[in-house]
Amino acid sequence: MYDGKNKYSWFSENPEELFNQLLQTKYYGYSVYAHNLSNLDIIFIFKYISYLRNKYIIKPIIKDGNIISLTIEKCNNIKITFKDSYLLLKDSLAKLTKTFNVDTPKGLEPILIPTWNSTNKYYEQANISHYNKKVEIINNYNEWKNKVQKYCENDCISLYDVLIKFRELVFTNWKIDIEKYPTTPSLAFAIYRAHYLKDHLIPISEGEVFDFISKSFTGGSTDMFKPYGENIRCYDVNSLYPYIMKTSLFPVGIIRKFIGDITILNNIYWIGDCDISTKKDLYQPYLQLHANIKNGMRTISPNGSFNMILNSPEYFNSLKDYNIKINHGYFFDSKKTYLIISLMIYIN
Amino acid sequence: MNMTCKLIMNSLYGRFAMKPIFTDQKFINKKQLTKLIEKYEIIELIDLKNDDFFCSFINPKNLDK
Repeated sequence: MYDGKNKYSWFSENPEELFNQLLQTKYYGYSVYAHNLSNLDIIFIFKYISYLRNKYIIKPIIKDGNIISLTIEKCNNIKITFKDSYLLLKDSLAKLTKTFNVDTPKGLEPILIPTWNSTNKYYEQANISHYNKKVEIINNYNEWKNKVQKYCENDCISLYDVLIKFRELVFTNWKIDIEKYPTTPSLAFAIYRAHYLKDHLIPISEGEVFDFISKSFTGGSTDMFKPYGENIRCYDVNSLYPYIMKTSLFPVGIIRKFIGDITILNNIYWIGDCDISTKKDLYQPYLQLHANIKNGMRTISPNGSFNMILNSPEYFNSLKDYNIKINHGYFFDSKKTYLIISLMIYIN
Repeated sequence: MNMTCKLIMNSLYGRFAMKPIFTDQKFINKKQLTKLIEKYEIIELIDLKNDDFFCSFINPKNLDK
C-alpha cells in the first residue's frame, strides 16, 4: 500500500498486517483504491473482512457483482472505504500510467519458475503461457520475493499517481471531487448536473407514468456477422451516441397524456400503447417486447398481432413492415434538447 | 484530457434510466442466516467456511424508495 508518503508491503498469506496498518485513526475517512478490486483483490481479503465484523461495522455497496464501495468503521475514530479504481478508469494500469504520463510507470511482473533445486514450489509457475503481457522470469526464490514486493509497491505508487492526476484534471475542469463518485457514470452525471443541465428539462417520471414508460424498455436487438470480403472499403463508425444526443428529439419537459392518433401533430416525441400486426411474416422481426414464459421474463421479437408500448422513432421506423394503431399514451415537449451538446462543445 | 472526456461522455449513456439497487449485503453467521432466510428473499450466498456467510438479499424497504 502507498499513502502518498510511505509505501508498505508484506509478504504473507494473511492480510492481517495490511488491515492493522489501514485501520488506524490517522487514516480516518480515507478512501483506499485498488485497481480491479471487485475481481481480484477482494478475493484475497474477503474472508478476513468477515472476521472483522465482530469489531467493526462493515457496509458494502454491491451492484451487478461489482463492489462499488466497502466501508469499515468503528466508533468515531476509524473509518476507511475501499473503492475500485477500475470502475472509475476502465483500463489496465499499464495503459493508464502511459496515458497520464506518470513518473512511476508500471513495471514488469516477476514470475518464479521452477528449477531442479527449488525449495518453494508453492510460488512457482511452470506454465506462463496464460500471460499476455511481458513478464520477468526469475528462478531464484529470494530474488523473486524481493522483486515481487517491489513490483507491488511500484504498482501502488503508479495507481496513486494516476488517481492524483485524474483528480486534478477533473477538479480543474469541472470543480468536482472524484472521491465522492465511485464509478465513471456517476462522475459523468455529476459533471453534467453541475454544469450542463438546464432548468425544467428532465422530468421526474414516477407512479403510473413511470410504470407505463418502463414497459417500453427492452434491450437493443443485435446481429452477429462473420466479416469476410474481397476488394471492399471498410468504415468504422464512431461516436454514434454523441451524434444521436446532438441531433435527435428527446422526451423532455412537461409530460401530457393523449388518447387516439397522435401522429396528426408533427415533431412530437411520444410513448404510446399500440396494437400492432406484421404486414407479412418477417425473417427478422425487430419490434421487441417482454414476455412471461415458463423460465421467467424473456425479450422476444414476434410475428403476428400483439400489443406493446412504442415510442415515436420506433413507430416511424417500423411503419414499412408493421400495421400500427395507436391507442393512448404520453407525449412530451420534445425539443432537440441539446442534452449534452454544451458538454460536447466544451470538449471540441 | 481527450481520454477523460471520451470516458465521461460515453458513461453518461444510460444514466438517465437507471435501475435502482434493491439488494442489501451482510456478513452473517449460520444463526443469523436462518433468520434472514425467513424474512427476506436471498439473491446470493457465499459460504466463507467456519460458520461465516456473505449474503445478498432483497430488502423490501428499498423497493418503496
